[in-house]
Order: sequence, then C-alpha cells, then structure tokens
Amino acid sequence: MKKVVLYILLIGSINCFAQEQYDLAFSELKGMLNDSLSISFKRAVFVTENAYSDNQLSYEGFNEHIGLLTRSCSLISKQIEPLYNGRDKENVKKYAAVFKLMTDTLKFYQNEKDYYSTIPYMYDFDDFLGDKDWRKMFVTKLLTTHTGNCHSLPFLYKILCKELDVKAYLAMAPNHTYIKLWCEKMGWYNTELTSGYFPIDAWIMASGYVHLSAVQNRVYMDTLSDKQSIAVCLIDLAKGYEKKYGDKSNYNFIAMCCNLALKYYPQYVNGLLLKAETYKKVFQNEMVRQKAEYPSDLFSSPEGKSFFDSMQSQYVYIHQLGYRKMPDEMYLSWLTELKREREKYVNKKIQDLNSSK
Amino acid sequence: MLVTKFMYTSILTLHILTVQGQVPVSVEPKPFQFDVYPDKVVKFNTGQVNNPSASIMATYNIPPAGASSEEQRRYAEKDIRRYDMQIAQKQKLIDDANGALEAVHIDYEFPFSDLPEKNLYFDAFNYLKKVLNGDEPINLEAAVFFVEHAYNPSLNYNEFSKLLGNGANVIGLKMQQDKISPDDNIGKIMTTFRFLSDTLKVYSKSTETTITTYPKTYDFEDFWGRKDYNKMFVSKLMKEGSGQCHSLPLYFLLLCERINADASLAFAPNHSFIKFKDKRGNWHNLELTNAMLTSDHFMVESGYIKAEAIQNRIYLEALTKKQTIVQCLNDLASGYIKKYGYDSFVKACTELAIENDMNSLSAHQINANYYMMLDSYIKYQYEKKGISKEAYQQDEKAKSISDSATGANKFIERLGYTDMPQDVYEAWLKSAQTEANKQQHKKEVKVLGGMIEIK
Repeated sequence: MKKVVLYILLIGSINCFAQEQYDLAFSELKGMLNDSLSISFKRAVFVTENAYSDNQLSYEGFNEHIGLLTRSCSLISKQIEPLYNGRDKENVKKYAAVFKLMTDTLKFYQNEKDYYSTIPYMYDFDDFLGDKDWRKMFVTKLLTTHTGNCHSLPFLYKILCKELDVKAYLAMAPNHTYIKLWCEKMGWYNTELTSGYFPIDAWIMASGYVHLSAVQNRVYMDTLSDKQSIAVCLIDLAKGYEKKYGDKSNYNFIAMCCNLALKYYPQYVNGLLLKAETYKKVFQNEMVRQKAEYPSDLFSSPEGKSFFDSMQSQYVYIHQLGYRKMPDEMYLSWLTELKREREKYVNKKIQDLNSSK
Repeated sequence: MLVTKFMYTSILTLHILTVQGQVPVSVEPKPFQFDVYPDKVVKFNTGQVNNPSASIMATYNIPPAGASSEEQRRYAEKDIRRYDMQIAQKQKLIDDANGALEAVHIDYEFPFSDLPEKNLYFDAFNYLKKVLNGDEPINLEAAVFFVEHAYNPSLNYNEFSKLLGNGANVIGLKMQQDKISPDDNIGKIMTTFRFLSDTLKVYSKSTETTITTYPKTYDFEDFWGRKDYNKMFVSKLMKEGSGQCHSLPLYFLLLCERINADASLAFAPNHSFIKFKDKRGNWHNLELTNAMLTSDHFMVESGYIKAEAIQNRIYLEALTKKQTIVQCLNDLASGYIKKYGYDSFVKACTELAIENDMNSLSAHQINANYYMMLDSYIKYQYEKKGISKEAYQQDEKAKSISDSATGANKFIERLGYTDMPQDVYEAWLKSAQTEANKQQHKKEVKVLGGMIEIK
C-alpha cells in the first residue's frame, strides 16, 4: 500500500515538473503573441520541443547548429548566380542557397585540398505524422538525424531564412506544411522541401482534399503571418503535451493553448480540430464518470447540453471552412505524385532558376 | 493574354491614332510675349516723323523736301511694301512662337473623336449605369442586347427576344413532357442544360407541331473573337447554333432569367462557366463548351489558377447579379476598344465597373491596358516631336500616368492573375474529355437527377 502511494506521488511529482516546463513554454509563446516578448520563430520552435523533451535540450547547442548552417548558406549564396535580374536578386540568392543546402550535396573548399561537404536533408517516410514518436516532428530531430518530414523541413527553412534576414512564409495544406516565397519578377511561388521541387498551386489542390471554400477561407495555401506561425507552435505544444500524457492530460491546458492560438489564427484547422477533439474527450470522460450510455443522457443538465452543442457546432464549422479528412495513404501517394507528374505540376521557371549555377 | 492583347490593341490603336491625327485638334490659344523679342519690336515704333533727322529719313525712307509727286508716289509705294513686309515678319514671329509652343505641347489624354454612331455606346453605358445605381431593375437580357447592339447596330431586339423566347418555350415544354415540377430549380437548370447539349423533341399544343432543337456546339474557329468580335455574341450563337466560352454561359443565364431559374456566372483563366447550388447547398459547375458537369479540381488542373486568385475570388466564384452586369460593362468597353480604340469612354467604363466590383479582373485588365496605351501614346508624341528624353523623364504628368500603368499591373498580379497561353487553354478544355472527368460528369448527372422533383 505504501509503495502504491509513493508511486502515485512520484508520478505526480514528475508530472508537476513536466507541467511546469509546459507552463513556461506556454507563457513564453503567449508573450510573443501579446507583444510582451519579441517574436522569434526559432525560439518558439525550440521551447515547444524542449517542453516535450523535459527541458533536456540546450538552446545554446541549437543556436550553434543553426548558426553553422546559416554561415554555410551565406557561403553558398555568394557562390551561386541565378538566372534572375530583379531588384531583389540578393534575396532570391539567399532563398536558393537555403534550398541548395537542404536538398543538395555540396562541397566547401577551405583550401585546395581540404573541404567539407553537406548532404541533403531527406524525407523520413517512417511515422511521418509522429503517431508513434512525436519527436519525429521536431527540428532538433531533423538536425541530428538529417531526416525530417513536412513539419520539420519547412520549419528549418523558415528559421534559416530569418537568420539570413529574408522572409519565408509557412503555408498549410491538408496534413501538410510548405513554404511560400515572393520575388518581384515571379510573384508568389511554392517550395516543397520533402521532394525538393517547386510545385504550382494546382498540385496542392490536386490532393483532392482541398475543398474550394478552404482556399477561399484561407484555411489552406495562404501565407502565415509571424504571429500565426507562433500560433502553429502553440498547437504543436498542446499536441505534444497530449501525446506525452495521453489520458492523464490536463484538458484545460490543451483547451487554453487552442483558444489562445485560435485568437491569432482563427482558421487554423489543426487548432480547431484539436479543440473539438479535446471537447469530445472531456465529454466522453464525463459520460464514463456519470455512467451514461448515450450523449443525450447528459442533456438533463443545461451545462451538459450546451457543452455538447458547442462541440457539435465546432465540427460543423470546421466542415464549413472546407476541411475534409485526408487518409494517410492518400497523403503519401499525393506527395510522391509530384515526382511522377513533374511535367504537370512543377513550376518550370523557378525550377530552372534554382538549378542553374 | 494581357501581353498579346496589349500588343494587338497597340497596333490597332496606334493605327487609329494616325487616322485621328488628321482631324484638327484644337489647341488652347497661348498669349504672345512681346518682351521676348524687344530689339525687333522697337523697330515698329514710328515716332519723330515730324522732325526727321537724316538717319531717321534713311531708316524710314521719307522723301526729301521738294520731291516731285512721281517721286513721292514711289517713296510711298516703297513705304507700303516695307510696311507689308514688316507685318509679314511680325506674323512670322508670332507663327514661329506658336509653333515652338505647339512643339512642346503634349496631350495627356487620348483624342476623342465624336462620331454619331458612338451614341449607341453612350446609350448602353447610361443604361448599365442606371442598373448599377439601382435606378433600373436588373435585366440581363436588356444589358446583353445593349452591349451587342452597340457593336453591331444591325442587330434587332425583336428578333433577339423572339429567339430567346423560342428557347425558353422549348425548355418549358420539355419540363412539362418530363413531368418536372415547374418550380424546381434543379429541374429547370438540368432541362436548360439538356436544351443546350442535347437534341430535344417536344410537342407544342398551341401550334400543334413537334419542335426539334439541336445541341449548341462549341465553335473552335477564332474562339476568342480576335478576327470577328461578333463571335463573342449571344445573338451569333442563337442564329448559328454554335458559340464559345463567353456566349454559351451568357445564353444559359439569359434562358435562366426567362424561366426564372437561379444560376450564376463564374470565371476561370480566359474562361467563363456556370455555377449553381443544389438543395443541400453544394455548388456545381456546368462546363458548356464541353456540355459537362465538372469538378473544381478540373478547373484548377489548367495550372493557371493561383491560390491568391481563389482567395480574392476572381476565379471559381459565383458572380452576383450585379457583378454580372459589371461584366456586361466590361464587355461593352472591350467591344468599344475593338471598334474605336482607347479614349475617355473606356476610362469611364472601367471606373464605373471597379466602383461596383472592386475585384473585377476584366475591369482591372482594361484599366491597366488603358494606362499602358496612354503611356505609350505620350512617349509617341515625345518621339514624334523630337523632344529630348530628359524632358520626358522630368514630365510629372507623364510619370504619374506611367506609374498608374505599373500600379494597375501590380494590382492584377496581386489579385492572383497569371497569363495563360492559348495552346494551354485549348489543351485544358480538351482534357475535360478524359475518362475520369467523364465519370465525374455521369456521377453528377445521376446525383442531380435524383434531386429533381417530379409532379
């Protein structure tokens, strides 16, 4: 008996410590959103991953690694000469440099003989949604293993661009994140780091899960502002928390993250979904607690009814915005379609511009 | 399309401008400044004649005292000749000065030739303006006829209206024959769709005859109306039974207006089609050039629809009735440009259009073309008059027009427009016939067919 009590206490204490990490991360992200802290996407990504890793990551080490990559990008950008003569040529060179670093094998000569080389960051097909191991989504995982997914790869691209003082924007698609860039001569174009192509918008819509209204309502394919990008981190934080603690999660914390993120990014579908799912779990738990068989059994209390209604309306709203669930296998087949149907979906102008020396 | 359109109109308009160059252009009179040429002016001062000194006598050619009458007459004649010459010299100075002023005079607007047949365009404009201001009820049939008649005055409204009525009549009879509930919107739309895409045989009790109608086909020849602008018109489609992506959807809407059905116009790159809503609130696309129900996916497959264009709702969005009238106004301007080139009328059209539909792509395109043309017209004047490049660069008015041209093009780009080549367009239209799209069409026909209410 004593042992059991101790065990529970122990779990409790670990939980307390971990919860503290999450609270710290939450308040830092909140500070960035309400302007009491300056916005840093790099920092936001780090604190999110660090909270999941029980404060075992070093920001200094992370910064050092990013710094090294940034310096490599600067070197590359000095060496490349894209077929581009807009007034923003220097920016385009930096975009191309980050792209090259992340997708190409490069050699850097320090003198005639000695060189060091970089290898491309590859797509990790295994558990690409982080279902088994949430850390698969992390930029820190990408940096150490050189493999990542549609979450960590564009995040790293955005971080490096920011370090090089150029703007890169995240954009959303079903189950997917990619990069949108702008240059004077070509306007907006997409950068797809999972395969190293520059797809046109038709490819993103070709997944078949992008409903027209989702584009009209800026749920997908729109550029994310700085604060919206932080809101994305906030939802990542909440998701990681839920993955970590499962049934033991404090649902109030998740709901708090969702509500704050949605305040700054109201049409963020992952945030809306997480919120609705959380409400659903809370309701289901309440059903179990009250030994109810059907949801309507809880309608006798006004709170129960209104809670259920608000949950319902959230799902309706998500559908109205244009969200349609995309099965995992469909996602993979769509990702690889870009390679199969290059002729149809690749932005040739941008591809040429980046493949030339 | 913008570029090619621009090139084309540039040739057209420059041609028109040279013709118009022979029409006298009224120049604002400029006061002549005497103080510019003081030394020459002093010479006209003929004072001190009463007390002539020798030098004055020489200058003014005064006959010496005691000269014979013959001599005096010669002197006088000489004097008159001298005076005439002075007058002529003076006139030449004025002419030279005026010429110099004329040489630096630049027109910052297109010359406007007031031709009587343009009245048809002004009438159409005034009518559309009234509709947009809400002073006239929306009547698409009248709007479309006004636009087509302005371009082609030989069109006759009674005939136009009669042909349209015949079509609507057949649709009504077909609905009766198929026992479709007369108030069912999907039933009306699907029957209209069949009228356009199928061979129909209906029996008319009033005339005791069987009427047969044939599918309205796609006219592949000159489908953008570049050679013959009449190809764009519903009147041409009704007469010949074939049309293109402009006239077919418009015809569909006119029939819908007659039978009181609810459908909307929508755009894709260089293309227009029909959108309508079913009872469940889902939208459907009718592609009349292929007579198919298509998916949104097919629309974006062309590869020329950017996310920004969808966000700004320039493509794939059902137009409101008012926006459809704005599009008639854009058609009016396009026809006018084909006929007369660019001038202040075009500007008035785009201003009214943009005022009523901020994101009207066609209006912004015409506006951008207008400023690009005006910019090149000003450059042309500078070149023709041999004025230095520096003077052009310092010309504030010219700069603001050139800035307007750049700004208008930037705006179009921000709306999400990209240029789509003609061959890509044709290939895309043909791709509607793939097996997947055919399956999609059959599925939609089945779903919608199931929704039709039967009496």
